[in-house]
Amino acid sequence: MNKIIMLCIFCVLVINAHSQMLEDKNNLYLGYQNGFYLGDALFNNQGTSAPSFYSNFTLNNGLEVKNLYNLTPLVSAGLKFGFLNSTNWQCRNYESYNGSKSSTINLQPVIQLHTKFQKNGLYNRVKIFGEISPIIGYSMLKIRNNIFDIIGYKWNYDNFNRTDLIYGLEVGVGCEYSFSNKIGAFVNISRQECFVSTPLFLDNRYTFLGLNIGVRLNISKVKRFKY
Amino acid sequence: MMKHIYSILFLLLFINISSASDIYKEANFTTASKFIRDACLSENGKVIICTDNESLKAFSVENKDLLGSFRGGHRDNIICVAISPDGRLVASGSSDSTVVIWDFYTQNIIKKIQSATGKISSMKFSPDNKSLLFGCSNSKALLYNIKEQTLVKEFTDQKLDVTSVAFSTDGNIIAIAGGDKIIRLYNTSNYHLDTELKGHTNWIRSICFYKNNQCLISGGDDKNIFEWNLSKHKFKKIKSHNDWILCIDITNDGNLFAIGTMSGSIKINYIFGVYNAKLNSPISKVIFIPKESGLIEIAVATLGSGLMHLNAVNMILSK
Repeated sequence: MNKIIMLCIFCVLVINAHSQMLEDKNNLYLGYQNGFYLGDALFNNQGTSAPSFYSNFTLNNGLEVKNLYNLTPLVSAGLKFGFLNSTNWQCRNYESYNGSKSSTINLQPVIQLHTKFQKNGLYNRVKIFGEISPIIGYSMLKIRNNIFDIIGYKWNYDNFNRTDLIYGLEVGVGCEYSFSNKIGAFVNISRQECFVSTPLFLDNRYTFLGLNIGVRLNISKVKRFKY
Repeated sequence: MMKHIYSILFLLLFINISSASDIYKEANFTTASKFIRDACLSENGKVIICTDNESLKAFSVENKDLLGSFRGGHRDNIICVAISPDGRLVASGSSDSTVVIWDFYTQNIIKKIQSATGKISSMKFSPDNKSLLFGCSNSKALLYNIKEQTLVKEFTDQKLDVTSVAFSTDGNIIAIAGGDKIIRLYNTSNYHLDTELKGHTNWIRSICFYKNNQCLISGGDDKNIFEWNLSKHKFKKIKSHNDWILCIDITNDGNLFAIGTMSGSIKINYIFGVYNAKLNSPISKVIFIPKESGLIEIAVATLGSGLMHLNAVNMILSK
């Protein structure tokens, strides 16, 4: 019990002391992403069961680089570059995509709504945010097994690589903790709903639930901080 | 293991509790906001006036008593303030692009100037009390004749925000500096551009004349302090710091100068060394308080820790 009280006092005091002297308008975020694809392992393909492509990837790791500019006290906007690598495809009784790999590269304009910066107190250190961003990008697939025979599609049987356009929407919520004006940390969860137009598999829609953690770096000081 | 955790927690708590702001807490003047954008001292050093959101507050330097409030002149935060050398007039410039001239004794508005030229970033009265010079965020500086209530001159040579303006003590030179890294000197007889002082590599934040107007000191975002010899048209870098220099004050003989930085450092360069203090907030203004006793005292306006009156005795002296 004493430990908990001690920790609570510590947290409150740390939050009370302000970490950011001025609001920084332009921030760079570098993050690591992990998560999983939602959806059933099998889906019903005109009466027969077929293994889902995305939902059976078990290792999903990614990176994100995001730059946000503070437009108003409550709204920031910017651009995000995301990379997600999915491997280790596993589905019981199926080997359809064993050894396959999916990499997606996204470019996303981001609109973020967040709590208002305060010169003192909780919101000097903590920022709670929600963001929405349309996704446009490329999906790079590497399929190992040659089990397809798609009419009208010319296979290069030696190389099962293919790049397809993806588009969709991402929403996320999270919070950011500032150690100082220059550096902070963030954590957020996000949900991506994406469409991929590819003839390699039938489930051309996926939902990815991601957990992102990373750092915030301030890359420029605000010159007009007094106004 | 828990002992170690407790030790670390205790250490962090101690660091947190004994922050620099608390050390100087009793030095604070009572203002509604701790975000003081500017302050000025009367010629006799007895009254200090500071910005306090959309109003101004005047305090007695000696006992920190509130002498008066100047309200109702602005719709947005006041960014800069100046008091006339005769102590009768006070001027304030705001984010709402207005300049208000107040009567110091009654705190009534004498004149409201709608400049419509951007936010008012800095201002100074002329030594003869007749004119007011103010700089704007849209790169212009304006000279206003108070008696005739007319705009005398618009200075438009600056390429970026004007951050600091100054009159020489004889009133013959006007200095304007800002974001374009150049200090421009104008002759007040014809308002022509006399000299451009180039040397800073980033925004200039503060300029002051000293040594009977023979020299000028400047500091800014390049973290350097430059001393400009105006008669010889030469300059030298006299000090480099580790953060943006937001404000400078210097005594006329040049033996004592104080700076305030973005990271909250205050340094008073003294003949025997440097007095140092560290606050948690950026320092928007440092002003020497004249003392017959010879003690070094300064008024410090901060963006987050209020307005303070510091004595060099309480600061750390380093050689």
